[in-house]
Amino acid sequence: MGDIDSIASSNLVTLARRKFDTLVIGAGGGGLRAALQLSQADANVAVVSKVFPTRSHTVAAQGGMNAALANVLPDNWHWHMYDTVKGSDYLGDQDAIEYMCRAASHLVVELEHAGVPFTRLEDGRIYQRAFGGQSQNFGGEQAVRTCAAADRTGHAILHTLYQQNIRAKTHFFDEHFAVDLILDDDGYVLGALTLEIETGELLLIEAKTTLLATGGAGQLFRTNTNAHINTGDGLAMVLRAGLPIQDMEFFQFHPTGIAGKGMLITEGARGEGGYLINKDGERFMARYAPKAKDLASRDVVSRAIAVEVRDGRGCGANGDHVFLKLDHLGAETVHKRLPGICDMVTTFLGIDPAVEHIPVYPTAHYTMGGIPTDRDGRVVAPVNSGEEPVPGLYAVGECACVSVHGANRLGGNSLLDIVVFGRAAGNDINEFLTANRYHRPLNDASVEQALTRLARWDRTGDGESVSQLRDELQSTMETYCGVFRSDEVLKEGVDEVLALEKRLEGAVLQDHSKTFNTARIEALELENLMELAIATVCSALERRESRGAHSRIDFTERDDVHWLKHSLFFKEDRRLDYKPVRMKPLSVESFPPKERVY
Amino acid sequence: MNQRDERLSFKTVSGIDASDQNRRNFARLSWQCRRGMLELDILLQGFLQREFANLDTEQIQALERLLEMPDQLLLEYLMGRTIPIDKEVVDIVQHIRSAVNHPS
Repeated sequence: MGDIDSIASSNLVTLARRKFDTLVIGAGGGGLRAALQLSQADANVAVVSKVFPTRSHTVAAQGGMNAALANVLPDNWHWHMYDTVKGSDYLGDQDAIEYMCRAASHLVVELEHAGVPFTRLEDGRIYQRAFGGQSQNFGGEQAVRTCAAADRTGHAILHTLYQQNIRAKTHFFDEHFAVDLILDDDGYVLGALTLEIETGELLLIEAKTTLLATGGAGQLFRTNTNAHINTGDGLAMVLRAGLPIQDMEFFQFHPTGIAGKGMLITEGARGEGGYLINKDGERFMARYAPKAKDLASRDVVSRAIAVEVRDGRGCGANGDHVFLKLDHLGAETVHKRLPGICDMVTTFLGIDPAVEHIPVYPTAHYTMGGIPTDRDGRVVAPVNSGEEPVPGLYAVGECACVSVHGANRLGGNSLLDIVVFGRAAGNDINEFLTANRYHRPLNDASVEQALTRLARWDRTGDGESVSQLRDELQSTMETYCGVFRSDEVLKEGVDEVLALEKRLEGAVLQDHSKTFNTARIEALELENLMELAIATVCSALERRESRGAHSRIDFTERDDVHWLKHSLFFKEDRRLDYKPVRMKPLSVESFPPKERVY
Repeated sequence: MNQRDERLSFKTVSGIDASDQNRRNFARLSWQCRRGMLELDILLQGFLQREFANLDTEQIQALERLLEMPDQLLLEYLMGRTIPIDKEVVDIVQHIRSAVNHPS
């Protein structure tokens, strides 16, 4: 340890430093929307991104963005609000949900003016499509609310925001990895220590305000739909800064991902008449949902698949998946009605789904939990019996938990979330910058702490490999904290994850070169995932109810008396705390919890 | 069959640990293969891991040109829905598509 400390101290003297008004970590839609708001107001903004900005995960969002424009059918923001509250299984904060739904139409028009080529109706207005979970008139007929730019809405929004940021002279640090937040003794966030991946050089970015927009943590699970970059870096930085993260037990799973790979096979396949079978060829959904069978809701189908596999009725050499059967539909129907699925299955599995079955397993899709914020994007932490903003720290997008998604996110609300709260955070940061005109003095102790953590990976000798541990962590999370949750399984999960954390301490890098050392970045990402795995499994163990995406086989019902509250997980002592859901909207009546039936 | 034949005809050059320059090249390309979509990550990173040692200079340059493309277009190419104009990029796309199902 002595050696590592001295390395950290010598680095502190020679450390390169830059100063900005605002540091944005993450260049997806949330980070870029906030950066744009700030750069346009002449703030000096740095955006740090570990990959080239337009390769952020926002690019993968295909569905669209909800806004009650009422271009196709009657609609209004209040109906959208109702659907979002109900979709969240009443765990969403109703003030934030009202704010988001009211702002939605304005934000779509604003994006349009910035250059997003939304698809048009024949009369020239913005096209909208129907999506699950949307209703007219508070639970009535299907609503048509999702605005889309063909099937590449996220791509269009991300590229537009990037180009507008270039125009507004936002400063980009591409391929820089953020290591840790820097704080002073009064709890102000002063910026972050970053690492340039190409050169291996460290750069300390001092900022009056820091915004985390690092996306979700889908890589926690072996089977997931997320890009490999989604390792929850911002959430882990917050935990290490001594702050809590919220509602981590809520992770959205989609029932049919390609087994072992994770890519989504949409509900369309089952909608066309495809169904799931186990190793005995049994159409097992008939046992779990006699009426709806394979078209039961996502959580029911996901859980059924997990039970089949766990009870030894899984398919394949390892019995670790089930099959999606389409061959009975005939080649013409399969190829004509499901071309996207055919392309994907042919490319990744080398099989024709009209002839062979598709191996599937539930796939982790979206992190509902995250860094607790208020509706201005300010990160909040408990103080006495209430909560207060952490001065200088903001978070938006999937890494944040406002909470507008509560226990379950609706399709079309994630792109909306990032632009609404990206803009809101930008506005609040502007006000903060007006009131706080100077940088606070740097806190060397906090920088040294980050340097020491980094220097740990300079150790040589024998030790376990990072990639092996990451694989084991992902499998462990899938087995013990996936869709099949019970007290017994989760307790085992806690033990397993803590054992992995212990083993991570002994991991060693084989490659110690400075330039383009991607192995070091992957080690730092694994440390981040490990923090979040512990937070997730501990939060899930404590929540003794089933709500939204968190489904317990030993507590099958929602329990509003005891559990209508947000969880807060702290790294120190792995402590859990709780805070009330904000049931009071800004201007309308509250939506009280009701049974969630579709 | 054509894709398979073509892949087998590739000339083997030095392995990935032959020099530091090679290591750097591999690491730089592997970071370029980190994209915004899982589908691209799996296709590109898997390809690079398995095939980098067998790629010649022209093929590496074609791969670099391919990686400059935006994610949506890359997906179109790699799922076989759109054919690139650049002949050498067409070849590398075919190579990636054949390698995913027939790893050597």
